[in-house]
Amino acid sequence: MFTRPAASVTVIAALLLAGAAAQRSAGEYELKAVFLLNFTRFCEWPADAFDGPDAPFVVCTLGDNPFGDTLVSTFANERWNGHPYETRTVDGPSDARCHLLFVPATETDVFARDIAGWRAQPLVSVGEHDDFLRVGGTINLFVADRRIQFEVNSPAEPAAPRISSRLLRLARRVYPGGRP
Amino acid sequence: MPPTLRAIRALPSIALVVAVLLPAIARAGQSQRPEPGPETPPPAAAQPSEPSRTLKDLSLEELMQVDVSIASRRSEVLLGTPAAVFVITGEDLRRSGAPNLPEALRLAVGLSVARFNTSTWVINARGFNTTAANKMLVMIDGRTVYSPFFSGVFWDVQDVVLEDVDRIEIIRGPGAAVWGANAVNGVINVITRRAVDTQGTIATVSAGNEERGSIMVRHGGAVRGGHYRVYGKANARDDAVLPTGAPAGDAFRFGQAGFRLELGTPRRGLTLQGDAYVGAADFPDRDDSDIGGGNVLARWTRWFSPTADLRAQVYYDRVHRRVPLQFEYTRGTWDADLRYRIRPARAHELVMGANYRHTRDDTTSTPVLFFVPEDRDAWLASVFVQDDVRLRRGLYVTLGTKIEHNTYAGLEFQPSARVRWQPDRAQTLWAAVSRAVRMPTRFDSDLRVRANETVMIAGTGGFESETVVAWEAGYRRLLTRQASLDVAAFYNRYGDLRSQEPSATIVPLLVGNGLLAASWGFEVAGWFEPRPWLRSVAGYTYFRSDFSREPWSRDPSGGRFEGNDARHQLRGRVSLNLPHDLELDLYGRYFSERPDPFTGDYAEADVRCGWRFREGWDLSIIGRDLLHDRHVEFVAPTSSRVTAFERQVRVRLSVGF
Repeated sequence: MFTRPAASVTVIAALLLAGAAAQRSAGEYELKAVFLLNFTRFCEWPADAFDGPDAPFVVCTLGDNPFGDTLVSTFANERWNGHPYETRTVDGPSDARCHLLFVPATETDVFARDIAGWRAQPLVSVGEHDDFLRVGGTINLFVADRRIQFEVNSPAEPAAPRISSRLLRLARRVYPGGRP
Repeated sequence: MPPTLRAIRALPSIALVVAVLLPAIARAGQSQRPEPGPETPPPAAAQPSEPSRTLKDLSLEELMQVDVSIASRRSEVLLGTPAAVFVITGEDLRRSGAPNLPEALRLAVGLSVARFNTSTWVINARGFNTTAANKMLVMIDGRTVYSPFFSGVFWDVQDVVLEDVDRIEIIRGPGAAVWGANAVNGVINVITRRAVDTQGTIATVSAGNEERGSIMVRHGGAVRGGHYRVYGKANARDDAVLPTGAPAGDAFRFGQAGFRLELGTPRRGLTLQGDAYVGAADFPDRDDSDIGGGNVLARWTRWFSPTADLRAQVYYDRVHRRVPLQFEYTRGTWDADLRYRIRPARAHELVMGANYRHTRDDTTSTPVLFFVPEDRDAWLASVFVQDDVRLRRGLYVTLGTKIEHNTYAGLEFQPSARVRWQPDRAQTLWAAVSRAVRMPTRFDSDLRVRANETVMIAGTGGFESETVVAWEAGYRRLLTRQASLDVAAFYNRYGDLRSQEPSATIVPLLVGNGLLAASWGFEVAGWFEPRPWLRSVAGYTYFRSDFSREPWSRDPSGGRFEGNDARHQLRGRVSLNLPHDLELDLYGRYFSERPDPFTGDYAEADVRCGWRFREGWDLSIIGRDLLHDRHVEFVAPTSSRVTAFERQVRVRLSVGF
């Protein structure tokens, strides 16, 4: 009478242990920080976007920083074409010259208000709001079936950083030549 | 029997054959798949992910395959909501193996789902469970589906393609300020995916001992300027049993087809969707019932800026239901809805809207029920406004009200005030007080119940809206990346509840507004995901209520017709991802006894074993209600019949192209 449940428990336990390596998960912003790092590797900034060969590659977060410390730790000790990364929090385009800008969902309309100022910078902007591409953002992150996906506005401005075709292929949707 | 339904009856055998044959065919086809060309990014599975590799070592392709941990995502979506909310995701639905929408709702903590017979469910949050449960607002893609007839839901005809459901939001407590009439005890909002996200073809077949057979095909494609999907589905359900084990003679057959078309751009878009269905239930003592209906909806959205957008929607819904010797009606409803959202200043988010609904029914007198007048037009008009105000960082107040005018009871105010405090990103504390009403219906106002040619219960035409004032508070906390907790408590005071007042000659009993009630309780839900391949959710619900009557009322029922609720509800679910693309899902639930009529407590368990033998292909064996040969979930004071449900086993195959 005892053997049957005991046997099934053993079988289930064995299956569980074997399952351990099958899959992984991570916190949303931990993942998004790594996405940002990856995006910088699939975009090409013109040389004149930097003040000099050792000038930092500036990663900005607009307003309320949802990353905690993970953004700093993700970019620490990494370089973009020799430029060390520097992470900053900004409130508007006049605060810093950014190369990559993360716009938290709650800051989407703040970003939209200053869109002209942001467009004047050699910038890839990454957001996480349904409206982000419509207001002129470059890459929008969203979660579908528990996984992070993205959509891209392929920028129309000639001065904007170039987005590699590999990144465009991985995008769920691409809006060529500007906003949807 | 119509030929359509006869065809549905043949479904089980067809479904079984297909279910057995298809995996073999699929496997054979798989080996002939072409190798990925150099243009295609390598699939993530090509490199085994070792736990020792950090996220930074993963390629972008691999990162896109990493699951966002459930606690983390939940917090983002729900942490800022000042209400008791539970969300069932599309993935939850797939893993549950639920055969239909009402069964799928069993996943929601705080929602009591009790099956009454093969095609009737009693679904309510925060008490007041009856077979004519009338205090929930239920919507499918923006269309209100509770019946204006009795404010309850005919769950047998609320069918969707579960594979196309994006999420089901269940809000416990009044949501009337924004959602509108009938959101007294809660809102169930079924949201299907956009057509652009349901491209390609899915076919599902299943066969089993109780859910005899079902088949569904959905196809999504692109047209100039947009996307569409079309679907058709049918199922046949075996009858339940009497407590003795004898067949209850209430088998059910149902078929539905529909479409959705989306045109335009994200800035301005047009959505058209519609469904049509036909069904029938057996009765042990008379002819089959005959139900049918259809709806078509158009929604236009205009996006002006991130701070302003507009949505206009209109739909027509037609239903017909004939239960021989009991009930027959046809109803057509027009509904127009306008909603505007604007953020005039950084600290304010305003939502406002207006709604007009016109409904006309045409009833046929039966020996048991009839209505005076037999046919009736009714309309409902409302406006609402709500402002979400940020007082300071992390502290928000939401104030709103709905003003509603209806044919039966005139003007109603439904205000609400909510406050939420988010001291940090991991927790939210909220509290709310709101008033909501349940509008009078034909059942309250115009009903006549007859026995042996004598009218026993009669509406007086003077029924007022039932009201509630609800006090709520809740706390949500992200404990670690792997765990989160959600607690909500409530105290509700109801007035003008439906009562049965003896007339001068005792019968007929007149439908009045003489009952009062108080209810209180709490709900706890917890999520725990210790490993990426092991996810679990558990919930407990406590509910108490106390009925009394107005000093003038002589209602003898003590509220027994208005609710029969379990004091304790317990449920839990564990989902495991095993090697070789196997999935194992365990679900258990417990409901304590219901007092009047007495219904014993019960516990039941479901198990699903799934095998995703190919991307988008899924073969599962689903066992439901496995613990007992048969169990009873709900007994109604208005019916002498008690129906029990047997152990169910089903094989289901879903293929996607």
